[in-house]
Amino acid sequence: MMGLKGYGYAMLMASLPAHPVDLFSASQTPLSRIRLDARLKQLAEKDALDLMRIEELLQWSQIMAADDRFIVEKSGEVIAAIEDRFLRDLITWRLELRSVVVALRKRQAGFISDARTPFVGIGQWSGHIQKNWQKPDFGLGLRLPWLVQANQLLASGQVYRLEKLLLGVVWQHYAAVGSQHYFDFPAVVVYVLRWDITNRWAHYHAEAAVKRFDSLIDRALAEFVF
Amino acid sequence: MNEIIMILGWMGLYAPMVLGALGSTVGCAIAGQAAIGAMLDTESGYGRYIGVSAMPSSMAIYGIVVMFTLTRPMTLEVAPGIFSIGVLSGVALMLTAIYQGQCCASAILAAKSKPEIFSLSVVPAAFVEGFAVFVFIFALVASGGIPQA
Repeated sequence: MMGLKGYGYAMLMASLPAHPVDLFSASQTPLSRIRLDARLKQLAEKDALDLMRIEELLQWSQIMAADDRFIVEKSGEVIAAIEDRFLRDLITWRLELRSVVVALRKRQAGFISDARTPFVGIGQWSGHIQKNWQKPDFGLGLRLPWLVQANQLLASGQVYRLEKLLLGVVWQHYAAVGSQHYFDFPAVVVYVLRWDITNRWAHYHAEAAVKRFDSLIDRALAEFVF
Repeated sequence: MNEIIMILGWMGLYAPMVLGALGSTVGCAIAGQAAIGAMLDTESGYGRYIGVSAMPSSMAIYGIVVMFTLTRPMTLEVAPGIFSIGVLSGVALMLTAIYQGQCCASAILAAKSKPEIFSLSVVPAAFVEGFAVFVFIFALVASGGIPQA
């Protein structure tokens, strides 16, 4: 009835404290994970399962344990299982961003994408990246304005600033697309994904970030890592 | 044919009340859920949230008044007029109640995070209320044109 579908989680969304406007001003998450999980118990069974799948897919640390083929397959499965087009686009956007960052890291690590060992990523940019492997911004600088800066930061070894840049890009994207949804399931997903980012930033230390990124680069030498 | 016209007349008589009540139910439910959620996340201002969530209930009251205004001996001459005014005003009241409930839910969400904008946040819901009042008043005016018997 007349737009009521978008109000399925009015109580849940109203019970969640607002995220800060500026991610980097946050010293802690708006609520603890225990309290968040308690509130998320209001989700319908299918929505709870979808949220779990999405979070699992987008949790970098869990993905690290898997190889590239598994990641691509799992990503396809999760995206196909999501009925909501908005959420499919949201997940795809994040995976595309990761593909681009992976390409930067692999190139930094000395990987050369050619016909024998092509770069394999997720989403619309993979072919473009492969064709423009030698260009600093893969020819995507106009479409992805942050890419030039990300490449410079990676080249100069400023991994902490790179991580901050990427988190900021994701945060702003979520904030922008989240403004289309307030009380429905996509709004819940966007909230939780923003919570994940806030949590990551709140527990961030510059030193730890450098170590973590170094380890990712090391891994990029050996395998395809998202 | 005459029976159908009479049935439609009776439907029109009851429509503003039942459609208004349906709209108020949905509107209050949406805003009420947001109010309950907001109370989980705040330590004060509970009364304000509940008060705002009750705003869509006015459309049911308007519907009841329109129904009583339309009440008169049902004849073939008055039935079409009662049907037209009753159904149209009922649908309008139902939709305004639902959309007002959505406005109230948004107001509660905004005011929860920023209490200082509470009074401003309910203004859109008041605008919607204004349109419901138009429907109500002009249903009363139009019903005056239907003969009593």
